[in-house]
Amino acid sequence: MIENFHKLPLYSLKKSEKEQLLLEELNQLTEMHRIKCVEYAHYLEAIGYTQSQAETLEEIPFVPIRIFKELEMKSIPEKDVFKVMMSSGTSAQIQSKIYLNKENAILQQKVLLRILGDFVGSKRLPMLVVDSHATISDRRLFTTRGGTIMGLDFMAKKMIFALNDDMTLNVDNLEEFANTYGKHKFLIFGFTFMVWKYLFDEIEKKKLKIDFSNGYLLTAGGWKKLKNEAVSNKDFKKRGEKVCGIRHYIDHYGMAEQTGCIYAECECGHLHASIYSDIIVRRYRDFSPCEYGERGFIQLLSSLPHSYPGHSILTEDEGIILGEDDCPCGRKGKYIQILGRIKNAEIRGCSDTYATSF
Amino acid sequence: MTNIEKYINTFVEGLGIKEEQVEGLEYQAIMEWDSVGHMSLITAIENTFGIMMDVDDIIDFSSYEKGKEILSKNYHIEF
Amino acid sequence: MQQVFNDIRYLVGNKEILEQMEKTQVLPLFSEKALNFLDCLSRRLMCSNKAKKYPDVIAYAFWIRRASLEKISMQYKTKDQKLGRGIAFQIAPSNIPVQFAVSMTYALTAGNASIIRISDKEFEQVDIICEGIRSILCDTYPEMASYICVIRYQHNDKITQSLTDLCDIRMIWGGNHTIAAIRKATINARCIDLGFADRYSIAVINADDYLEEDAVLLANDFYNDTYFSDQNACSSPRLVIWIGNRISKAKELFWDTLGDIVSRKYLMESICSSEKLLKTAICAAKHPGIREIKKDNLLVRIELPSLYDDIMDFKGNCGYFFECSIDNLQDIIPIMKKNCQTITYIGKIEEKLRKIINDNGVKGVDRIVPVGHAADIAFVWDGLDLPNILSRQIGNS
Repeated sequence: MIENFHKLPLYSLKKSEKEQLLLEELNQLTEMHRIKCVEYAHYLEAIGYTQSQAETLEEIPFVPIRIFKELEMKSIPEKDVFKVMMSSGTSAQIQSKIYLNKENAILQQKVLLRILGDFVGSKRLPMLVVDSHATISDRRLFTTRGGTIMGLDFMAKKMIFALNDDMTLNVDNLEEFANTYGKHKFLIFGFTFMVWKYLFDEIEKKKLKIDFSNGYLLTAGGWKKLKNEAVSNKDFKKRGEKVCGIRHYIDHYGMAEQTGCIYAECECGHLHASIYSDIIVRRYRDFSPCEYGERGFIQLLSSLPHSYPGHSILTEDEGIILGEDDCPCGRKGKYIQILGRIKNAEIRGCSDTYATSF
Repeated sequence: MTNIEKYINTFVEGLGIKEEQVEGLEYQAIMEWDSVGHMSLITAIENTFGIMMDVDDIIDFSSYEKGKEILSKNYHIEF
Repeated sequence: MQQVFNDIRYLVGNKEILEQMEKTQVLPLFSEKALNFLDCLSRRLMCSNKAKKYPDVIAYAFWIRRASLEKISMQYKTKDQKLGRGIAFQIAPSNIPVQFAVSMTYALTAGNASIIRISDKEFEQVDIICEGIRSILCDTYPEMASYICVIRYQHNDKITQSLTDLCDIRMIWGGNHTIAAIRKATINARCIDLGFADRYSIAVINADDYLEEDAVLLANDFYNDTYFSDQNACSSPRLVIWIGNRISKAKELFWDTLGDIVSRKYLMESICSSEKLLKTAICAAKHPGIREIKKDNLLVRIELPSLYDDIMDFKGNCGYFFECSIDNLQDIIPIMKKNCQTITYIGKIEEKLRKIINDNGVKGVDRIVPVGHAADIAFVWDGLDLPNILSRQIGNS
């Protein structure tokens, strides 16, 4: 039962203990989704997963992440759908649709707050969001960006948006926030690329004097865009300190398909799996598990998805498991490095040759 | 040049190999005589002897010896 | 003359040639001029060390050698009464590098001048062939220069319309989207418009005949039909149909032998692994009962309990095969739909297949060839006898 997890400290379990706990939970989820989601049952049959129990975490069947874009994967009746979470679809791509009932939405939020609390403390703090209010106000466009921000709502004593609806910097809001809350611990949240472009760039350009030395900057995603501008994690931190004095950084990895179970960055710059989730890195050639230190596809295991069969997902991100149970920060469990999205195969089919290239 | 010299020479030029490698050679036995090399070889033979080879003969041309046999039987080239 | 032509880049030819092309004389079908030029190109490519790296360039060079073209020309008995139509404007596909040259060869041997638009995607094969053409036009056959322009331009409806205005034949290679996009440019009243659209292909294997033959040779042939083009060519089989008594034995040998070659030779982009898995998930949702069989991600088979007539909607590539066993050859009629292009086969079944198609008035299947020949270049393509279609016959009483 998931309640058992809530009682345990987040990064307290050693490999063998964690595997036992997680395996039991995930086996139950596989069976439940097999019964409740007919698409999932057909998938398991097609890939030849006929057993009722996986013996190890590696044996748990995984679904390709884009299945949530192509099929309506849900394990709850239509009337129980409380919220449909959409992935932040870039360009004109189809978006993932994640079906949540009320219980699952609450569970995700609870775990998200627990994990973040471990890094910034459980006291609710004022939060500066490097985004516009419009991102969350239009519920029909309920994207990961909006979803992630909303998920943090409970965490924040007060939420102030740093950007106007047209993505320009709201200097008044920013200065007021710094003056009002800057003397004590507070939070800043934003997507990495947006923080870089809409906060750091603008503060520098406008020569603003802002002191955020008491701020904890939570960032998410968007490293790919920064990589194109050749910005490393280190550059990012250096610049943040220079333009507005930020000293505390917590990057994290996560996705709409497994909201709640985030992989947050510790003081050593490592992303950690909590007891609620785990990571397996797999080889491209045959999906066999990689050695630690070897790069491959990231598979995410999470004990949270109850309303949709997303408890074991093969992502299209590349990463490396750096180690397990031995991070100098003291947290147990696996810690990882994300290398980014796997290069998209070019469309080389007979069709679409022209539309994309002409 | 005699026909046999010409024949050997087509292997040397068509496949880009040494003369001493030619005799007894079989298709796919060396890296150079793969399906791509085969096309170069056939083209060289057609150009050298001024002939047009039949598709069946191109496929049957599986060794140095077999090639000689095909050329003499079906294209009247005397060795 | 035409302002819009300023935005065109030339790999072969130039603006003057393009503007004057309307005045270029048409040639007879399989003219000596065209054959000399192509044979010269063949020799140049065959000798080029750069070209040797590319089996597709060599295969093209082999196809345009004099002996090959003369033999084909002999099948056209009335060729002396035939001439080209004028200018053939060709839009080459971006997935098969040498196709632009194949298309040019169709047009040129039929007596037409060619304007070929190639995609922006860089391929060394394209550069090698264009370099060959340029140097021959410069040194050996300058009189052919007015017949060929190979060009690139960014998506531009005005250029497409202007080139379409010039042409007597338009040939569009590519998917259905491409064809629709180009067809927004309207053709002259007498222009012939040919669309070479997206098709699919299948393989039919008689298990008993297969077991009598050389498994390694056949596996290599099948590899060339499929993996060589990442299974993306329209002629690459996506579905393998088995018939005969010893199917399970034949299947095992066939896929094992192929698997050995694939793991030695084939380089697959990593993303294809998850794409194949996704295909399986999507297909399983529609057709429960399918079963994935694989040793690794390079060769993934999907066993079908029966032959679904929409199965090609789920087709994959880079080594993703549906397979199905049937009792009777007639059973494949439902998938021989209009979009079905090539059947490759192993065993003594060609005659039977042809008979089934004829007797049942089947609308698909334009080509039946032995395994290993799916990618062969031919003058009859997509059911069209191109030398006849691209030329005109001067009739008599």
